[in-house]
Amino acid sequence: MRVSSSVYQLQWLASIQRQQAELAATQQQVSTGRRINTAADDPAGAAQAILLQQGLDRLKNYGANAETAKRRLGLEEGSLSQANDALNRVRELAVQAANGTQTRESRSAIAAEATELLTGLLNTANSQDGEGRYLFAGNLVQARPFVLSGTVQYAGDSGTRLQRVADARTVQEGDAGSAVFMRIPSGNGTYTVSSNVGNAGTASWTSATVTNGTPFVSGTYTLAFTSPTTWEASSAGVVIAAGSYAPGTSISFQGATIEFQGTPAAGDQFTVASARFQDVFKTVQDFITTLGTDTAAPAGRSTFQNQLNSNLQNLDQALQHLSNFRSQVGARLATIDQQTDNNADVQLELKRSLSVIRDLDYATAISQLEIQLTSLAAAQKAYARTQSLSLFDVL
Amino acid sequence: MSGMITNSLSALLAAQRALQTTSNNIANANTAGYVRQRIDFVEQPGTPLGRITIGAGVAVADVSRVYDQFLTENLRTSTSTEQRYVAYSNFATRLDTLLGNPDTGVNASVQRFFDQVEAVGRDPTSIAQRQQLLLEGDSLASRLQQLDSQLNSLGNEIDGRLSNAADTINLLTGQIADVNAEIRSAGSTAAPNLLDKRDELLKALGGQIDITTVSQRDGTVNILVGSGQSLVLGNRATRLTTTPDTFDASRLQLAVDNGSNLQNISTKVNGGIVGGLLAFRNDVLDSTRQDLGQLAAGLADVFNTQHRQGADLNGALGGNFFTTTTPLSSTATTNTGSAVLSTVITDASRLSGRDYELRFNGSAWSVLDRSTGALVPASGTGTAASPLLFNGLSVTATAGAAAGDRFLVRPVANAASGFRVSLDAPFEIALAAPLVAGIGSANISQATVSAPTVTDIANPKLQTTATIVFDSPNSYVVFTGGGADLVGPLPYTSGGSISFAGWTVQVNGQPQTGDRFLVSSAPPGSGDNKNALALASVGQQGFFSGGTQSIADLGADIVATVGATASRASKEVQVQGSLREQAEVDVESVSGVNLDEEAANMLRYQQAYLAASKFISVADNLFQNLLQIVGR
Repeated sequence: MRVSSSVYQLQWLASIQRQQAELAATQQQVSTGRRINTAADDPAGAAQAILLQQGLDRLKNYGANAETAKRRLGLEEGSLSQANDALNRVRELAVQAANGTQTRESRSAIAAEATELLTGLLNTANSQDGEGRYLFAGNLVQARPFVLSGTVQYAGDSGTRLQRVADARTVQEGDAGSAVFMRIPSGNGTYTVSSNVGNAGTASWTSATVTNGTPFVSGTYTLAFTSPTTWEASSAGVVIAAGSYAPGTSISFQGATIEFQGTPAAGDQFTVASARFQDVFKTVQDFITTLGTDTAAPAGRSTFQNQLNSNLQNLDQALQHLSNFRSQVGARLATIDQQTDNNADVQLELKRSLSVIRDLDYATAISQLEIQLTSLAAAQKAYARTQSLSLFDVL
Repeated sequence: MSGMITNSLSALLAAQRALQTTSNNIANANTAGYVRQRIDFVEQPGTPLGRITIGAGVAVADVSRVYDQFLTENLRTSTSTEQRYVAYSNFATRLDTLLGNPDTGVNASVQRFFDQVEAVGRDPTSIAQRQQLLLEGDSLASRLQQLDSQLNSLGNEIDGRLSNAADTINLLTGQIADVNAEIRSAGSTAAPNLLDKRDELLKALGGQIDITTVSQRDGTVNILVGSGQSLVLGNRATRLTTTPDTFDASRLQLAVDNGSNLQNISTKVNGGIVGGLLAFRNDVLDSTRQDLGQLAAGLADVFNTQHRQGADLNGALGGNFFTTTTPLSSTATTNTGSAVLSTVITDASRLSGRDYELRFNGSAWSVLDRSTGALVPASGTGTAASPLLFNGLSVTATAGAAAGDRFLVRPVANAASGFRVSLDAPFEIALAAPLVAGIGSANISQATVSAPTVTDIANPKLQTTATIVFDSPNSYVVFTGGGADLVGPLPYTSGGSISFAGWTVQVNGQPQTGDRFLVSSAPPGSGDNKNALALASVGQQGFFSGGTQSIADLGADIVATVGATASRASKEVQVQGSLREQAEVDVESVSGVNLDEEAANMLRYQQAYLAASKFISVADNLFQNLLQIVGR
């Protein structure tokens, strides 16, 4: 084919420009370390990279959520453990107080310690997280939830907060104070036994359980000793069960089995009623009140014993209750840890995918750069050689 | 003897002309558009001498342009196509830089906003975090506005470039018309440089706009554009001008001004810079703006819908977090009636980012998809009582539409530019569930109550405190206040749903007679984050396209589409560039000057000249010899 002289120039220039553009593109990739610098470099890859990046951002958020939940659950766990320690100490004191060798003075010393423990318990229930939010206020996190005015009043609500720790997984990051400290079933959890004021005998109950195989029929019953050796149980004035009694034996009716010791006086009464809720503070306050009972007379002694039995039952309920919450908190913390591990695996996978899509394979890029440089140099040399050829030179 | 001299003289003259032609070729070796010239010799008619005829020398028959019309036209067309893609690709690349950077695109702003939603969900009562969410909302809004205004200024730039192109085209057509006139008056003896000049002008014109040329017998060339509108007829050029769009005065279209009226040729132009600009505006810029608008409208809608399901820090129901502008409805400048449309979005999830043209035929409306021209099924008559409903839009027309009137509805045209945070104060952010359930403090049983689920956020008594009282272990009543709105007694089963003023709760366990459960509005200062959790995930949930495309997907799709356009355009530039290059090489191979060839020709003609002059001296010698012989 005939080639005009200016075509040489044209073609060479076009080829050089093309090669320079390719070189610049490779150079940009190498200097940013990315294969995709704008979406035009790989449109489908860019869209995928955006979604992967958003996935990574979400995981980061979940990580922060998990950290927050973990921090708050850790604080809750600490508070529950403190409350548990305090209640255990109160229970020790109650057992100690039950000892017949205690004097009025030693009991008042016990009462003083129990009062201190009550204050500590109240402070624990009012603990705050790092941001100054109350841990046990439900969702009313800005107001002090437990206020002592005679009894302890709860000013929070029953709400709880969730944190999302994975796309389809949320973890409860706390418990409402009403559930933890306020709504604790009293007595043995099913029913309560209380001695009537004015009982003249020395009978006191030593254990109250639900009869094996018979559920407790809920209601309020009066257990009355008609003589030191006989009893009858009535509901709303109607006698529903009766039997004989000897100290150290148990009385059963409507699913309740109560063991007594001592000798009742005729007309002594005990009230057996379905369990209600009692807050943990009231339980400790009751114990302090019990400590003030006059035990000089045998009847007072048994009243003291009966009340102390109720106190101990309630304390055991509270300890059990707190322990349940502690294990729930532990389970949530374990869930978070497990999910955090899962998230780390997912994150690694996403990062790997993102890197494959977006990041540059340096080995390929550098060798490409070398090839491009070589061919650019070759094109320049070829031009110089062909341009030096002209018939006019030899004329 | 004299025959010999005249022969040599003719050869001398011919060689001289040939050398002149060669030197002209060499001189113009680098002149753009120059077509090399070739000298054609012809024998002079000889003198018959009886049975033989003696040659009478040489003459120059013609100095011709070495030229192939088809190759030249091919070069013009390929230049036109290349220029189209160069213009298109320049803009597509700029758009890609604007939107396609994974780190700075709109997606990053959306993600940052949702990151803050998560952060505020971790500490819902923190005013600082709430304030930060408002700020992130503002920066998302300004990012959207900024992108929209950048897209808008690309549109303005295209308008400017269209006017410039029209000016350039008018200049070129004027010059072509002048050259036509000169060629016509010179007739068949028109100088080669005039023809070269016209070809060069035609090539430049082809770079601006795709043209069709028609050669005339008188040597002139007529030029047609669009669907056959003439730009040049002989020595007369028609002006090309820009004219405002029928629906949108801020947008320019290209029109042929034939003196009496303007003829819009925008949709008929494909090639050249003008073709590239128009194609980019129609295919890419408009749809990108629509996509961005759809993203803004969709995001506002999903976020607002969820936000209204929550309660703010005062316990009141949430309002709209974002606002966007309502759809744009415009009337054509050609309308004879006085009707005006107003459009509202009824279902943002059905938006497709398309613009619609509405036509009134005197009795009924028809709706057309502006980008495809396809008919869109619509119901209603366009009155306030029966608005025209289609694709999530509701259109009402005022009275006075005349037959043939046209209207343009752009559902999301201003959604990105009008995107704002509508809340003022941090406490207005609704992060809590609107209702809370509580257990009566004197309850006997251990029955529990679930968190209320809202089934009807619009119920007027939704947030009125309601009490569920069990009048027996198996039945309950619900009432507000001291016993108003009493419902029941209704039978109770454990775990069964209890529904009242727009909410539902479940009571679990064995409630006792007299047990109470309260459902009331979220208390002021609630640290509940249920609505925050819901808000955090709305961007990921399917929304558009029948619930298959989330806001995040749309965001990624915008980037991918813009990237694909830019990538395709730049590949097309390469392909068209090498086609144009090949066409240029083809033209050059016929019409270009090869200096070596000219050097060889120069030697050839030089030798011919020398030989002819040598022969004159030989003839002279012969003559002198003869004179000496005769003189003796």
